[in-house]
Amino acid sequence: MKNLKNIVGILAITFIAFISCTKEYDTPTVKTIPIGTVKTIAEVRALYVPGEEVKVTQDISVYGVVTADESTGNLYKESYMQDETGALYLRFTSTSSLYIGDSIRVNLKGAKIYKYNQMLQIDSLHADNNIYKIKTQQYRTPDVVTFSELNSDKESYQGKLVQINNVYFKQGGKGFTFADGTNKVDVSWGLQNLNGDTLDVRTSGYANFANDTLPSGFGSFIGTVAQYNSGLQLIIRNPTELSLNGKIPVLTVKDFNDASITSGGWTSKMIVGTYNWSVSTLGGGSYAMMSNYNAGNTDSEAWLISPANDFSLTAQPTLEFRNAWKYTGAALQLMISTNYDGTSAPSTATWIDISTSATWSTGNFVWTGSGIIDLTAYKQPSVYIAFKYTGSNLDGSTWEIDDIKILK
Amino acid sequence: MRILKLLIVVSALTWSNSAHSQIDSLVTDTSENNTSIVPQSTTTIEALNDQVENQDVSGLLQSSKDVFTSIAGFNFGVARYRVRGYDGNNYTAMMNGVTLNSPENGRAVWAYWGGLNDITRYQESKNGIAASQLGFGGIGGYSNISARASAQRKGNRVSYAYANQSYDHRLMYTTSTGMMANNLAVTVSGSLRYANEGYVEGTFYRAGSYLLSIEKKFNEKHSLGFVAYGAPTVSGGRSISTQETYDLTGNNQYNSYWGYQAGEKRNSRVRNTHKPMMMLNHYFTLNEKTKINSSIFYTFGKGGQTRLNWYDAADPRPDYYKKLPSYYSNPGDEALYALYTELWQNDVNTQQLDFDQMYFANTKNLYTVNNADGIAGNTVTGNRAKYIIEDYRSDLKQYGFNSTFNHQYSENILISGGINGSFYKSMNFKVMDDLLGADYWVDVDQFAERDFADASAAQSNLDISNHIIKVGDKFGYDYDININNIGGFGQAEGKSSKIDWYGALTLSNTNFWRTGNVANGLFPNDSKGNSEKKSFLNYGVKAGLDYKITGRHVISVNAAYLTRAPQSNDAFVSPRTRNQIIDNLKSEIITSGDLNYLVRYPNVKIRLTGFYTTIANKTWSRNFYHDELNTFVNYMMTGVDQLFIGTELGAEIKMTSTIDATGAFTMGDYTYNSRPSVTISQDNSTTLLAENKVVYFENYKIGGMPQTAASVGLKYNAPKFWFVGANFNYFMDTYLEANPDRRTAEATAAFVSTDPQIADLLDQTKLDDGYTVNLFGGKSWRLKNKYYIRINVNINNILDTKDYATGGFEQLRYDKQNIDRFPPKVGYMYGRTYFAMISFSF
Repeated sequence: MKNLKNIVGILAITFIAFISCTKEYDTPTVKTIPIGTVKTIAEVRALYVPGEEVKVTQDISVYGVVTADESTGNLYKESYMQDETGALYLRFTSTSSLYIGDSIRVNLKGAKIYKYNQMLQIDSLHADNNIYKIKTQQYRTPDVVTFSELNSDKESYQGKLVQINNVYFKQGGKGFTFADGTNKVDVSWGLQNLNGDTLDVRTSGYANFANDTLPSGFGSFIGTVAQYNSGLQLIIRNPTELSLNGKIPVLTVKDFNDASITSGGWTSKMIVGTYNWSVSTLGGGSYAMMSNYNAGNTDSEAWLISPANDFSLTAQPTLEFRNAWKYTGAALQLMISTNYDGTSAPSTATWIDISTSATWSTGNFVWTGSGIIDLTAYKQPSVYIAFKYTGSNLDGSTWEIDDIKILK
Repeated sequence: MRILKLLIVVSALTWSNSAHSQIDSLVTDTSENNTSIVPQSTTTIEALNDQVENQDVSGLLQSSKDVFTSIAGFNFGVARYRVRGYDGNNYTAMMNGVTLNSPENGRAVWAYWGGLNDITRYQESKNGIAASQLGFGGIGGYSNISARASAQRKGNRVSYAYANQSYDHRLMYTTSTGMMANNLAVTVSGSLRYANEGYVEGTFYRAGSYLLSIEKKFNEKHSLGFVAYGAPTVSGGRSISTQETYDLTGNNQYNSYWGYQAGEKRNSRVRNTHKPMMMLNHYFTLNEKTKINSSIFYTFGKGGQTRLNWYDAADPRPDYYKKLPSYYSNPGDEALYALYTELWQNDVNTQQLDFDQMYFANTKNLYTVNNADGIAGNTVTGNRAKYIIEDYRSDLKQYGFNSTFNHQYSENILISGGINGSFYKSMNFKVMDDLLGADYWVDVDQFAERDFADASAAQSNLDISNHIIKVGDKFGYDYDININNIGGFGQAEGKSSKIDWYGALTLSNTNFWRTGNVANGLFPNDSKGNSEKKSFLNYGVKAGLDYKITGRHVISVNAAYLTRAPQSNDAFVSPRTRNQIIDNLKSEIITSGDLNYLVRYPNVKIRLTGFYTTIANKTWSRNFYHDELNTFVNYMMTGVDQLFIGTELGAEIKMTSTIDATGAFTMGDYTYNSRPSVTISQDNSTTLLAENKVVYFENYKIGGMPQTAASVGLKYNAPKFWFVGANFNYFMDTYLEANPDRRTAEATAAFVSTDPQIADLLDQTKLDDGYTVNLFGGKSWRLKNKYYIRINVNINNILDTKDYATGGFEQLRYDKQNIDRFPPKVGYMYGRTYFAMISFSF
């Protein structure tokens, strides 16, 4: 009996010891981040003093939305934020732990504002002490811009999230990778538009897509704008945002400088009368010319027809040319067909008159650009474009066409 | 004359009592809290440097009757001395014949029965290769704790101890009935140990222990015993750090694991273990010549070790290399160097963890998880944890049996043998311990997230992607290690007037495999389910001979040859993520021999031993960040051979009737003895980064212990039941454990022989010598002829020397151009410590 008591006693004290093992700690009082003076991003950018490193010593808060983060590894201890007035490039003393779509308030106290290779940066931010997250998933739509727009105002595009359409990687499709992920080396590749202008896309060797193959196609690019000395660079947020899988358009130019109407597969068809399209150099330069006048007008119909164009895979086929005319007569018609066979009389096919989509010269041989004519409606494998000249025995204009650019 | 005889008997009793009391000394209790300093595998960014559980056996050694071993056990433990240089898995610990060594790492964990000193002091132990009727055992020796109720001394004992090491207070109570008239014997023992803060700053200790032993004697042939024990222990960890941190803080016991939370010290590494064991023992005396003892046992319970983890946040560890002044040693960084030095010297939140800041970060990290818990459209918004405390659990379930017999074959020959089996499973996973103020944690692998664009690769558990983790949830990884072992042994021993001899054989089969309980995103097809089952058939032979030149002078020789299955924790490439097993896994081959000269006079006992041991074919696998390869790697080294040559000398001399002198000396040369072959694979992807690379590891010293140690002691036993004594101990030849990857042709390839980097890479650091002076004393009183009061006091390192580094290791992460970038981690011996105990027996 006595033993039993002892047993119970020992078990009891052991039990007490055991349960007393979990130690509870007080929850620390959590400090708050003061708001202080509120400034817009444009106002914060204006705090920069050229050539100086401005250290913020006051409580200054700036609100904005995170537009680029570190989750793909392409950024490291850095982030971008944007509001209606502009964008800021943020640099942190450690990982930022910010994510795209975070609506944040940044208290700039302790940070440094300066330019490094012309890029304005807010440096030495502390991910916890300087940042307050208000809400998540407040995504910002990128501004759609062109290279020329970017280059015309580099300063105001610094740090902005942009979308650029109709571009492709110049070296795409050759097996190159975004960067050297094996040796962790950054690499830049030129992004090119249809004018042949390029802008570098720089990717970190630490990005998790560094060893992925550069996309080979044509389409739109989304990324962040950074400046490096006098030039701009683009930084990919996530390669899944790139839609560079379209066919890279081929531009064919028929400029008649070879004095040939038919080179490049073009044809001319004299349907009525004795006059046809020919190459002229009158007034300088070579161009195609058609007139029904030779000491009097004659009934005439003559077609200048392009070779067959495959628009089926082209994202946005276009046509552009220059034109000029003089003398009274019927207007030149711009025709398009998707079922012409290329050799028979034009009348064997269906032609649609798209003359109204072009800008025409006002006459007197004033050369006029047609403007870029969108042929998206005719994305077919065999598309012919034709200029149809018509003249009567009473009158007839002289038409001149040059620099016919077909993007297919 | 009668009085004289009585005096001798009493003083002998006092002596033996005091010897028992000394088991309670500092050394024993230190051992429970020592941080082991062998390189550890890790799958986190941290270079771990502590063992999940302690492996020290010095506590067992102290009870040894061997003249060398008991002195070494008492005095060398503080220097992390290891018997003959061996790893703990060469020493077998048993209770009532049941092996207590873990099948997973081969080691016995003292902490599981810590605080039961009243019971564990009673043990049979032998050192080195020796005959054993309980099993084949290891080459380091064995101890068998007798927890049999009928074998406990009848009576009660209560004691209180006051100390300043891992704990400050200990209360212990034990009662034993002895064999009662109803043929029942019962022993109950329990203890409490407590420290609000231990010797090392930021550590704490709370432990209980209990043991119940019941024995029923049915008749002269059969007795049945039942034993159950456990030791729930919660303690705060201590770090091993670089010399720079010790210099900056002026404290060689600097502990980076703690920090302030709301003004209170909090330790980030809390060990919480409770692995109770129960056994049934059947004692069967078949006849006068034959006995059969059989046992079945079951052990289970939890082992946890907490640790900080963080996601997309700055490294919170104060001693992270980028937070130390030395990181700013380059020209131009002088201001930062000065700033960090200043902060390290004066700002406690720089020196230590800053829990308040972690709370701050966690309570304002708003984040939205889409498709949470694998449910499409399930959106969770809240404060995602940047910092957490997670509990690395290694729980176990093991049951088994053993049965041994011994038979007096003839007057001079005793044969014995037995069979044993064990079925073991460890369950390994992480549990969220504390979200530190945040709302949730997401169960993804941030390294995989960075490395792979495919989001599924980062999922720890593909069945529940984007798993939202709250306190108490399992996460990260979840796998079992199963180890089944069955074996047997047979032994014959003979005695004659000139020669004693023995010979023994063993045969065993070990099976192990991994069972993954979750499919990991990195290895979707190789993480869930069972791995290949590995099977190893092992055997061993040993024999020994004592030649009695006279009864007082004996020469003995022992030899053993055995094979041992590789340990499962070295067998898997990366057990936390996948089932892959290392190629070329082979059994270890152990060859060992010793030659002893023993002198046994009543007043003089001496043992002189020389030993030679090789342990060949070891497998060594680790997981760490490889700077050169820029990634986490699995480093698998096979064909690692170790050589242990050394000598031991122990002496006990009764100089007068009151003065005893003791001496112990050991000198060893413990080295690596082969050029292992290394295969390195990328942790994330199994891509092989190197194959069959040669490690030039021959003749490198095995680090982390003094290879030479000496002790001399004097003790005065006063006739009036008190004693006092002192020991002087000296330790030398301690080396840092070498990083194998630095000893490869690939590491040195970039340099020419005159470059200083070559020496930096290849040289092995030898640590300075150290010494301690220990004092002990005690007195006992007998009251009313039946009560005893005893007081014991031990003071270790009374000169308070604090600059003896007892060991350390080179970090596996290294920068070959600048070896000081990741300097070695070293641990220092405690300064002055004490242990005072009063006990009352009735």
